[in-house]
Amino acid sequence: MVAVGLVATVAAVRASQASLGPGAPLALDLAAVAAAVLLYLAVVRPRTAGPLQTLAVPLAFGLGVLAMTAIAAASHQGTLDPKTAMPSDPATALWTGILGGAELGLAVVVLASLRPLALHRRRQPTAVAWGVLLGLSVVAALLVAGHPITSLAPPLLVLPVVGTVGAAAGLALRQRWIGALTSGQRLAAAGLALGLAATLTALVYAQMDGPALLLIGDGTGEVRAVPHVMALSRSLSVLVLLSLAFGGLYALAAGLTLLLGPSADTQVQRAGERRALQSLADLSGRLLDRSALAAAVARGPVEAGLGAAAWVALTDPAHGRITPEVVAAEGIPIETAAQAADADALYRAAVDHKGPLVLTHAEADHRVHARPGDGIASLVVLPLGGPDARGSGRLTRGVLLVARGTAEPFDPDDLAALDTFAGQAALSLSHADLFADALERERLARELTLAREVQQRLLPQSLPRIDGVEIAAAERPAREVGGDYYDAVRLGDDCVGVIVADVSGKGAPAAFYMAEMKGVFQAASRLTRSPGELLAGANDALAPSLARGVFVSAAYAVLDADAGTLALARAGHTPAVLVRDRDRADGGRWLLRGGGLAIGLDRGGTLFRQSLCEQTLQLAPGDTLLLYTDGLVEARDGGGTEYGYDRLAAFVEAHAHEGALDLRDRLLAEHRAWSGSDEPDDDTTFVVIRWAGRGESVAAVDVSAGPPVSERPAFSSP
Amino acid sequence: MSHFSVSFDRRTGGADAPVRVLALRGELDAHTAPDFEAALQACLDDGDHRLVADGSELDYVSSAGLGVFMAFVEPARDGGGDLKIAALSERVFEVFDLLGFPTVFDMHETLDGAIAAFEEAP
Repeated sequence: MVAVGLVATVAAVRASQASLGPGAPLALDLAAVAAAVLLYLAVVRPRTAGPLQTLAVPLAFGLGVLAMTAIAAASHQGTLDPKTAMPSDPATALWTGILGGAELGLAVVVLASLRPLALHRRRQPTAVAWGVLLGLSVVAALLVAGHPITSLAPPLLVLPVVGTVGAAAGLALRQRWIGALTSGQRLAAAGLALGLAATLTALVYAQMDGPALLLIGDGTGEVRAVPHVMALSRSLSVLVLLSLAFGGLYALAAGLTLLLGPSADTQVQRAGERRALQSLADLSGRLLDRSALAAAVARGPVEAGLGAAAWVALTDPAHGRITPEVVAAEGIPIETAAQAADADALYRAAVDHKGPLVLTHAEADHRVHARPGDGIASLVVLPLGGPDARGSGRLTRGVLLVARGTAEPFDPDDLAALDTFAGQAALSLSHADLFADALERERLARELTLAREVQQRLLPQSLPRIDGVEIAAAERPAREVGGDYYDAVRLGDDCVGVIVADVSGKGAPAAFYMAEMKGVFQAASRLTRSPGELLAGANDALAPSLARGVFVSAAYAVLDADAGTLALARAGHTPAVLVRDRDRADGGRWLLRGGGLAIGLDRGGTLFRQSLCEQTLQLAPGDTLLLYTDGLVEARDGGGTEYGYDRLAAFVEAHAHEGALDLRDRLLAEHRAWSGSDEPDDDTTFVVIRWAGRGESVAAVDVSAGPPVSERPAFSSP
Repeated sequence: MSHFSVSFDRRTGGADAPVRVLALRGELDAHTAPDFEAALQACLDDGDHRLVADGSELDYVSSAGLGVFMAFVEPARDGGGDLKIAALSERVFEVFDLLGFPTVFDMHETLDGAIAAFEEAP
């Protein structure tokens, strides 16, 4: 209204101008420019209509002005007084007011209409070009302010005019709004654009030449012709001319692009989106860090001009966070983003919606808590990864929210681009998850390697050397760490204790009990030389700390080299193999299976003691005892046949004479060959104890009824 | 791939003091032990503490499987019942025997024998 008032005032003052002061023309021009700017600001709106309607409005307006111009030209030849530059007659004054006002109105409508097209998916350079266009137009208008219309234009005017044309050309070459059109719409838009271009070109021509101009002078001497709007204000006429020229240029470029360059244009249009996608794809290849990835996902839509702000909310199952939380934001402070919307509710809504969920009037949605100043007028909600189909709940899921500051709807191709982008982002995030998993596995593997080294140090680094006794040991864990344990300690000068134990289960838990077993054994072996007492003590010490259902089997042998005897007790362990030289009358092979419960089976210890037996043996030179865990006998060949006790005893018998070390190596090779694998299915451990003797001769004993051992309860009944 | 199943829907004996029979079939190892555990827990949750594991169709038992028996015999006994083991094949019995299970567990050659044992000494 102010603008219309100003224009009216200018027109009225011009019309009634007698002889105002010398500053009056300048003031009038300035007022006219101000009126034009105000009018533009009053009319300009964010894009609310489709591109066809946007083009149709200035076209209709332009055709109307063109018609009026034609009528004015046909009905009346207006003239201006050469001295005052005032209309010479009332008809001229009338047409000046009507046509000048209409031309100004058209210029404003053209700018206001084309603005949303030119700024479609606003990017920095486009916004700058638009600002330059408007700014330099005003500068050009101000340069001629106060100059009489009869005078020549100031030479400096060429600079802003050239700048304006440059900005106009830049804007005209970038027709990104076209991509949103269907092919039918393209054709209609092309017609409208070319129609608008022709109309505006005709009007620009009518501003410079032709019958619709006002003549200055009486027909004698030098005659100049000026457009009606210049009779209102010379500054205003510059504004109108530049605006109409820009409109014509932009519409022509749009029309030609619509008709001639569909594919190339789409590529230009998509370049930004592709760049954003590409940057994300690059990121996912190199940067598998979740937070960096989330930041890139938030940055993508903003960089591609698809939204003014974007933020990402993610779950983090690895750290127990199962509802999405905002972890990255672009174009909006992260705290504001976190407050702005209920990410979890929107995530679930978007998953249910099976695609991008658009909230055109976001502030009205109960899940959006944004205030008007937050710049969240419309919102697209894109799920990052759907519900976990396998229900494992291990994958990161979440939501990408893209906001615009205006309540304008999102174009279908904007949504398609965002959808593609979100799909790519979800893929990258799941890659990051997998990468983290792999990292975790690698860390675990490193720790297991360390654990293996620790466990290796729990096994004896060297075995006691006692004259007449050969000891050799081997262990093959099924995993990095295992529950098998063996040890050998010197008990006095001429005595050695050897233990083999097997914790039920495998892996790390078994390894912990194995370490505990080592402590118990090292302590108890110093307190007693009785195998039965040692195992009972081990049961007392270990049973309370074993988890429910965990047990330890163990066999403990004490060899007294001075006496040439061996004592053995078995706590639920595999029976020891005893081999006596076949050359002897009492030669043979036996499985020594004294009574005894596994450690942990009877926590009270009473039954343990009651059932435990000790077996003793007068050693003969060449006697070989094998203590081992069940991995050795339970090894299966390719056909599933267990190696078994009989085969083991026969093998030991066949090779015992080769000595403890050779027997150990042969047995290892045999075990490997039987299972056909370097990785045993079960922890496997064994210790060979061979009594080479000290040159003594031991009389043969009767073995017809069984092994040459005597057995008695380890604890006599009370 | 080990195959294992445990069915435990059979109740026998008196209605006021039923004996719940858990029929084991296949290989009871570290992978299948949780199934057996769950079945035993379900029986205890039902208030049944007189339990018999029928091992007539049990082909293999590993230390993890043995651990399940160990873990549940005490709760069964604390509830006034027992976890008896019946009808193991010779091969499988050998594994139990080596560890001394017959000393701690009431083991029977036949299922009927195990059920009858409940009647004799509830």
